[in-house]
Amino acid sequence: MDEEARIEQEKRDEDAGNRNSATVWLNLPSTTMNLVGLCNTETICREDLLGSGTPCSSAPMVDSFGRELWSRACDPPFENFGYCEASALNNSNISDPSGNRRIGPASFRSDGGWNPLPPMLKGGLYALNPPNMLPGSFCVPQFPTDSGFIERAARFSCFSGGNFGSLVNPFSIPENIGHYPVGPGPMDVFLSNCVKLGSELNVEAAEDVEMASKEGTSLGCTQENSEKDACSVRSRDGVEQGVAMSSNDSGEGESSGNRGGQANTPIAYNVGGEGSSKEVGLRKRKKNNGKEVGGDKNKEDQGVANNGGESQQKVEHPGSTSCKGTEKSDKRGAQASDPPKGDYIHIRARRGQATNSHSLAERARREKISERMKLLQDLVPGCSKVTGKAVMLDEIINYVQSLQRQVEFLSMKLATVNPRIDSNIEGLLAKDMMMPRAGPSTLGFSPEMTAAYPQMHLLPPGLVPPDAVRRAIHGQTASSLPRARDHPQVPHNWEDELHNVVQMGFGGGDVVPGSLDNEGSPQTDEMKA
Amino acid sequence: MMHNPSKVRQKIMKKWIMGLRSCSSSHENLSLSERRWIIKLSADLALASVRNGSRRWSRAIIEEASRNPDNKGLIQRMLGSGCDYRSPCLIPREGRSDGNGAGHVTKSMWVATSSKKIVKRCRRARRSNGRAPRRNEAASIAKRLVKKRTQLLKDFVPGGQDMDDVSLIEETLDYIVWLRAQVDVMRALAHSLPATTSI
Repeated sequence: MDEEARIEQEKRDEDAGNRNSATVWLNLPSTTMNLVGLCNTETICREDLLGSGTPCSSAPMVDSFGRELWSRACDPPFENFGYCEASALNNSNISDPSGNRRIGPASFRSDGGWNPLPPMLKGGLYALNPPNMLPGSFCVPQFPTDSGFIERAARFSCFSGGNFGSLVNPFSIPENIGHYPVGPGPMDVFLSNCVKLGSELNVEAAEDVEMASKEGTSLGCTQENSEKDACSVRSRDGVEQGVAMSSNDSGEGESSGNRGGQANTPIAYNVGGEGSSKEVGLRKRKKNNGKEVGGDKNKEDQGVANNGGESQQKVEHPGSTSCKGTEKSDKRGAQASDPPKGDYIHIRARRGQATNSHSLAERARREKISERMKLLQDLVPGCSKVTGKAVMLDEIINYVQSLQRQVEFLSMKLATVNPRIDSNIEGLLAKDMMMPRAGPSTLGFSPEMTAAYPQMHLLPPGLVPPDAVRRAIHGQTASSLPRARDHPQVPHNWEDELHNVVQMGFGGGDVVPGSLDNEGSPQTDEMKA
Repeated sequence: MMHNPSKVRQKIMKKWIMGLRSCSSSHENLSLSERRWIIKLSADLALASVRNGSRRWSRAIIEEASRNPDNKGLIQRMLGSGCDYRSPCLIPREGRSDGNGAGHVTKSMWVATSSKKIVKRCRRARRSNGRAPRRNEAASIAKRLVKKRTQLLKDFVPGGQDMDDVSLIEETLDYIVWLRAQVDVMRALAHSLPATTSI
């Protein structure tokens, strides 16, 4: 109970809320690095959208930081936040299940024992908040009361409660869930809460009502389509939608148009005040709860992280077809529906399209481009569910940029490893080849080697250690290379040595793109740190 | 594209180390930034040479490196004195030095692509002249965004400035794949070396 009171107090202080959100960011060190890194890579691409081209160097700059971050479909931090908030929310809710629930929440309660939402709404909840109250008001209902939400809540009941258990413990609300009449309801509603919270985190500084309403709609939309485990994904989508909305005021841009369409069509009537009210309320809740639930973050991650990939697919596909988006998206859809063409393109002019040769050629060209964009989608991580040229290009640019930065970083790292480039190489080879004579530290050895031997005559006879060869045959990865130090070797000649070193480095195994990405982020983190 | 990734990486690593060795023999004391530059340059050149000039970006890397006279020695050592890594149309120009050859190549390519651009522009202007503003604004905004990003991508992909969209995407595809290989190679070396830092 005092938790709620405290939370309410904090709510009233908007600045504190901002600080809290910043603190929330900072409390998750593992994610912050990622965020910062991502933030920095975002600068160029977000300029036109955000109008503020400066990279977010400090976590307190939540606005741009949040936008940039969330637009990157950054799963882990997102999930963290969503779940942090949700768990805190639920905790506070459960302590007072029969709190001052207003009309809005009451309607949800009937749907599925909707409890979690109005946790701190002691101060007075309203079903709807007028949009102009958005910026500063803290007396906001947690959920819209309109039929849209009820519809969504009704849909929740169709979800099975099977996965409930896996998520219950992290949120430490198992015993309380049982109180509620409808089994799957609370969990799904709770998850929807997560989504909203997650989206809240990002849109904390957003001023548009439009975006807030789209959050609500996206929430409903995503929940319709995905399993309840995909809460994190939904939240990400919601956030991305929110971000896209906030950044593209008039719904400009293919991506936002797509997503907005995706959100708008299913629940058209949600646009308006309820979204804003929800947003504000959630925002406060997030600020207040963020600090408390840092501990739960990890558990939440594990629960949800796995499901991110699949559900998003479900989310995106329905939306893209139903989207009333831009003309470009329409064309894309039309392009996709065209039968595949050979090298010489036989194009039928579609209904209502110009038939002169220029437009036909243009269409052919566009189809080619879209084909290749699809290929790129497979190549660039995290792009398989992105539709739209602009967003794809964005992702591609960021990926290329990050790869190039990795190269620079690695070259800097290599440059600092040893004062002399040649000793780098010689150290590498010497380790492998001078083992019989080398002491425990090859470092001390290599300078001597360098001094004693000119480069090309580096080493006495040596050969690849049988172990190393064995390892190469069995396809070791690059990480096995350091272990080669421990094995005696007698290289025959330099070329062989080099070849074997290289072989050991890459073995027969490939460094899979996944590992690249995994390693890549720590690298970039180091770089940005 | 990359049929045998590990082999490719081995090749890149070999070429890179060769380049580093050949370079460091001539320079005894290098500053940190110089070392970094050499390392990066040789890595890029190794990548480009393994790719063997069949792609625009690889040629562009080499051309850009050639423009700097300081790099000539390294380039020659790494890639051999021949210009066989250049595009096929340049092979006849083998006799030229790196700098001239690069400039000449670029110019002819530039002429070709700029003429393409002019044609495109005329076509676009003609089409949009009598066009009523039927298109919704979102589409035009979307187009603008895409254009902006395409331009950005062109800045990042070497040699992408004068390419049309289709080939730009192809080049990007290829470049991404090989860039990943380069990163793998460099990371392998960085991990295998002792982690002493002496700047």
